[in-house]
Amino acid sequence: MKVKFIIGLLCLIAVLPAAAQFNKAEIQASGLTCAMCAKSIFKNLQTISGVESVDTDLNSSTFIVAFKPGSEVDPDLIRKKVEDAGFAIASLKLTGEFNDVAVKNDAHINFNGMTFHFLKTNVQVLSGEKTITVVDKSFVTAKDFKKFVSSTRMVCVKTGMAEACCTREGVQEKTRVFHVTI
Amino acid sequence: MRMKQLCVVTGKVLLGCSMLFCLHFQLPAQELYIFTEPALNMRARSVSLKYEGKFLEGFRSGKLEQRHAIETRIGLSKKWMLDFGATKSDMYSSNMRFESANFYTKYRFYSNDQVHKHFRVAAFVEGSWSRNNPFYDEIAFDGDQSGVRGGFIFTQLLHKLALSSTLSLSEVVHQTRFQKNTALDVYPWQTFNYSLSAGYLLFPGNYIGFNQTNFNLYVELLVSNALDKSLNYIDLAPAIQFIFNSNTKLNAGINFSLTEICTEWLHKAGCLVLKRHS
Repeated sequence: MKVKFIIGLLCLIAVLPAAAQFNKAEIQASGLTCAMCAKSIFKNLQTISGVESVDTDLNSSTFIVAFKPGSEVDPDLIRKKVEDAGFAIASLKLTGEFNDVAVKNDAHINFNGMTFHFLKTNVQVLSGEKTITVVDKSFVTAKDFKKFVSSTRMVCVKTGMAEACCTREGVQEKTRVFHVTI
Repeated sequence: MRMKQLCVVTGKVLLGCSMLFCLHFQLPAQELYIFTEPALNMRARSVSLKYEGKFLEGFRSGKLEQRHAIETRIGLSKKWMLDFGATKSDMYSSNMRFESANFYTKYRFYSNDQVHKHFRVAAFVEGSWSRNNPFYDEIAFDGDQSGVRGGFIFTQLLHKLALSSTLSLSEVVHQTRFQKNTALDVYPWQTFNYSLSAGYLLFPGNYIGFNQTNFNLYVELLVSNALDKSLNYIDLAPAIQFIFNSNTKLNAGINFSLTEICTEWLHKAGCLVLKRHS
């Protein structure tokens, strides 16, 4: 009974909202070379609410999106904007200020109302400016996605949605879960 | 040696101005090739306008004949686009007049993207209504004839090189096709078409911003085999392309025949190329 109580308490702590605020997204797009194609992505990213600026490295097809303080940063919306331009995401890195957020491998943690599932991550406390990489399907190459799928037994990694595996940690079923690494 | 001869003949052809010369202007621009479509699509929920002018020396009249086409493109989604266009021309008449209306739609159903690479496949259908009679050996739906065409496009991007191939079937739709003993039955009604296109980004070598002018080189091989007549056509179409401010495109291309069969729209000089080198 005491053991169950302690496990339950740990799970509750794991999904408690943690203090973190994303202020930058670095996107590498795939499927393009020319500036004309990059401009389509650039224009789409500018339409995201809360965007302060978009910088571009055309040679590497990389876009750095700065968000205004307090803005909601939605990785799915960023992906949609890139895909609507006709291309795909090769990598998405989110940078933010963390305030002593404890993370560990294969555990779910809440930031700003979003649920993150850390993969291939060592036990650590995130403090100050840190960057995490989204590794869900359509956020990395198919080859890399397979590697992250094989790194956990939890099935939520395949769907990006909270499954029975996640509810054991207190995450509500069918909640969007972003799989990330650091 | 063979290549050298070909270049010499081509040079004569160009100097003789006997080829079809095309000029495109599109804003905002997205499409890649000049004479064919790539498998990629335009931005979702976007609209573009395109002007295309075609100029050639009339085989019969000897005068400069021209066709002006205007197109509106709509990106319905990231995978699906629509295109509506109309042409005005004096190619089949003594005066400039409204000539045709056309429709084109493309759906990209496969995409494998990597950094600076992609392989994509799309299906397309186009239809055209033209007031011209189909007395033309080569089936073309950009004003010349009425008909439908459908097929598949395969495009591979390899950093600065883009390769594409299109396979399609064309059917002329005209009332005379269904009449017996018509004098027009010497022309093909049905063709299988295939093309191989290559484009290379020459400048800039290193990107520093969206305002740099891009310069691309293209060469396209366009083949059309009549299925109901013994006729084949091979066209070679080199082109250059300037892209300004990453959204405005200016293309200039020449399309000349490599077949031994002259169409009425191409000068005899165009035919000499194949006769000497086939």
